[in-house]
Amino acid sequence: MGFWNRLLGRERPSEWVGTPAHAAKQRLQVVLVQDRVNLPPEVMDAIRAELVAVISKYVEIEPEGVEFNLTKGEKFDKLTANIPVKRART
Amino acid sequence: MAGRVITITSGKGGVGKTTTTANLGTAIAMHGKKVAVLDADIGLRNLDVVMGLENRIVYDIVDVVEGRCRPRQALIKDKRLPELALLPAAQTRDKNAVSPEQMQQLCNYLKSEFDYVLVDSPAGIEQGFRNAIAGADDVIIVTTPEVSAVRDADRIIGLVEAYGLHLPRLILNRIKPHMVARGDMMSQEDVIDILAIDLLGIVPDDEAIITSTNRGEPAVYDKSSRAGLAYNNIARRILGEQVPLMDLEERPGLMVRLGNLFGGGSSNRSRSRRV
Ligand SMILES: Nc1ncnc2c1ncn2[C@@H]1O[C@H](COP(=O)(O)OP(=O)(O)O)[C@@H](O)[C@H]1O
Ligand SMILES: [Mg+2]
Repeated sequence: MGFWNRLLGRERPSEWVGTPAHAAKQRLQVVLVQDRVNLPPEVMDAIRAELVAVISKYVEIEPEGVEFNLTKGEKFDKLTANIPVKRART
Repeated sequence: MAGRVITITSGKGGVGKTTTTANLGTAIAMHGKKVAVLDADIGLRNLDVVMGLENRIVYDIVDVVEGRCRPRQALIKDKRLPELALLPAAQTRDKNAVSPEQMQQLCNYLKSEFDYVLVDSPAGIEQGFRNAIAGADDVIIVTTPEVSAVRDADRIIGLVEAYGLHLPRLILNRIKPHMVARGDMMSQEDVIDILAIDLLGIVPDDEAIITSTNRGEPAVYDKSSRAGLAYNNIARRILGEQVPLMDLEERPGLMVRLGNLFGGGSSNRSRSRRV
């Protein structure tokens, strides 16, 4: 299919990257991830705080370094948490 | 008669809902179907002037729902097509003058009299929008290939799904093929990729839309208009015909294409899914 798509002009040459159309599409993809899931900032903050609380029960973490985001995935959009760990609680 | 109610909506204003309603209504009626077009943009009546029927209005939609006249009395017959009728919006009232329940009743009545009922929705996501989709069997989303219009369209698609209606289909309006070819405007593939709904048709940006609107004669009458032809194709698709998409791409010359074929990289286009 790739061959025919390119022959028909359906697949973009690499120069497409960086064009206004490409920028528009990328910006839309980012903004729509947030629009679609529609998690208000308060809810994001609440989830983050509860996650940190649960994990802190078992391991000592570095609260300043916690990253918690909504990102675009292949099939579904993803909530990703990055939580720096200092040591396990004993 | 068990007709279908098709609501034409967008979220953003000025993307071509009224133009689309007038042209599709006219084109479907030209194919011999009985069509009613209903202007649900209460307070900002426009469909009447686009169709050139503004001088014939006696009653409007609010008169109907408030019982001052029968629906039949408010329906204005088109100048040329006896199968086509317009139910105008009220100009001096606001959107809250009609409730979704009243709208649904009205649509049910119109469905019993017409093959197709096309509802021209106001912009926005509030009461006017809820009224416009209250009686809908199908929804058509109109957007232009611009970031803000596509974003609003995505919002509307989510709302339509939340109402339990099946996925709307898309009309991409005001495409400028030379801008798409230069990479200055998103293509239909880009917009479909993002919105993840079926494409019902693409309509080029066309000055004939402006001249025909000035005259009050929808562009589908103008056989030389690309947009008119595009709307006619969409009407045939609505009627169940298989009509291939219009070829709007002003394709680069063969040598350029062959160059791309052997030298060009591919873009990373992962399909978006709604969550
Ligand atoms: N395909 C097109 N080419 C050129 N002008 C267009 C096209 N579609 C719509 N327009 C113009 O854009 C403006 C807004 O269209 P309209 O149908 O009133 O939008 P809406 O009902 O969504 O607010 C009008 O001036 C109309 O003539
Ligand atoms: Mg309008």
